[in-house]
Amino acid sequence: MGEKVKITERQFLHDIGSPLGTALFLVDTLLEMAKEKGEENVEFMQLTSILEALNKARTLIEERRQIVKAEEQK
Amino acid sequence: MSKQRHILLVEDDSSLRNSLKMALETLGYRVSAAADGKAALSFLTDISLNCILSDIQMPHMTGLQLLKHVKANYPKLPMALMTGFSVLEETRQADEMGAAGFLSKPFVKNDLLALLQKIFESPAAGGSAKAVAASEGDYAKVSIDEFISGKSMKFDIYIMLTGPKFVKIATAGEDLSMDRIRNYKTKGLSFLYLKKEDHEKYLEFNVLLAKSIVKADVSQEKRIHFLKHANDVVMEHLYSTELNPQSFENAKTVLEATMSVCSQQKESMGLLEALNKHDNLLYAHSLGVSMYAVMIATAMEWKAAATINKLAIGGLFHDIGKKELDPALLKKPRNELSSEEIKTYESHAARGVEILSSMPNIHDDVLQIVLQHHEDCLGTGYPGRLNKHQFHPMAKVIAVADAFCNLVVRAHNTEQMSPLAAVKRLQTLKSLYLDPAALAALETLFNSGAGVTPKAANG
Repeated sequence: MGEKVKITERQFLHDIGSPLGTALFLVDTLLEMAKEKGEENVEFMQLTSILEALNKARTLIEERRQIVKAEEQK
Repeated sequence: MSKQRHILLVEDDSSLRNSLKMALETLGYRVSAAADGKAALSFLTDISLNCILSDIQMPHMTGLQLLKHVKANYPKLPMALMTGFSVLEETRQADEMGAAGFLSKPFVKNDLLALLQKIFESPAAGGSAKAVAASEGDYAKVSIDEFISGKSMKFDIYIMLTGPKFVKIATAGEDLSMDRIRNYKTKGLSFLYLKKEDHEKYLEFNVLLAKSIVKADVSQEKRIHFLKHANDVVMEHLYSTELNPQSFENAKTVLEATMSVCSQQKESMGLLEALNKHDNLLYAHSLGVSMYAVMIATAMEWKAAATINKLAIGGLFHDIGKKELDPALLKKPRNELSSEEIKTYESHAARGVEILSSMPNIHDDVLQIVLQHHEDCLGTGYPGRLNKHQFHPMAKVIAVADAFCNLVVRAHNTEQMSPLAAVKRLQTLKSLYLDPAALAALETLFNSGAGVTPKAANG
């Protein structure tokens, strides 16, 4: 991985952290509120799906982060 | 308790700052928020402040500059850092400056809660002596009579009060003296507790415990007792929530009966102790192979008690030949072994047979298990390169259990894998080598119990 690509990757991983974190925390809070209405309601189920999707994105970012870190240590 | 904590949140991204603030408030914390390090300075004189949670990269004053200021002027105030991408140098610097912890963005609520819990339980935050309300299921218990103190402890130790509430009495690395333990006992305490997430360390510690007992000058009865205790811990470790509980209980009963018989015979007890003494992971692995072999055979509807018992014994002693090998060789990754070392390593199968042959009442099937457990269905295994028709059926079962336990019981060079991930890995990479019926039976253990005949283990 070239130095320029590494810097771009690092910048991307830095910049994506806050918006994704925002989404995760907002959905999580909304999910807690929806849970009070019962786990069978549509809102709760949809929020659960959104949270799952966001967590998947988070995992992908974490994997990407590990790759970049490994490259940095080479 | 957590409802009274006051956190200063420093984050330049307003959306994240607001959502984090809302989440923390929902959790019962009082939160003050600042957009950067400079804005945070005005909050620091607030004596009700318990903790700072700050981003690193911010305009005007960075998180590291703020940390430096906090440590110089408010040394007892814990400060944790959040970062979008930690640079090793930056992390090291923050650590040396006394950061209470790190969070990598994007993180989730559980990560945040774990960090805050760590901060508020630390002695610096005055939390070490505080009782924490928790479920008993979050902790693993150890009988106070069986507890051996030592510097090898890598985990925090708690006592349980009514509630239930748990109080930390020793932190990881601290030496909990026998006098203190006796003191707790005189106060009527019967158990000490460890956090469940320390289970891996707990497992290692208990095997170490049994090992130290082997060396110590104690009665045979006491030695058996300790070894049994270590077994209980390993078995608990091997249990997975995805596993059919009935199947597990049956296998546990079979293994306990086997262990009981072994411990009554001087020779086999000596071998168990030797296995345990040689390598902590080898002992845990052997117990795992024994248990999973019994479960696989039961799922394959093998019903004869004698067969099940041979598998239990074969699993327990399949690697006994390794006791004659240098532990350093066992720890070395396979791809780093020289051809001479590979030859020595592979000799453990034949060495095992040699060792067991000198023992009374060892059935020939058990010897075949030990000799053939590294053979495979493609005829590429060792020591005999047997084809699938020559491969002993019981050894085929042990080979599957062995491959599975290599993935789920942490080995020297590998990360521990979840049972379902391990089954998937075997199906993807080893399906041609392993017996298909035994592999399919292993898979059924983690479904809804289909294919498992609960009474078969005793049949």
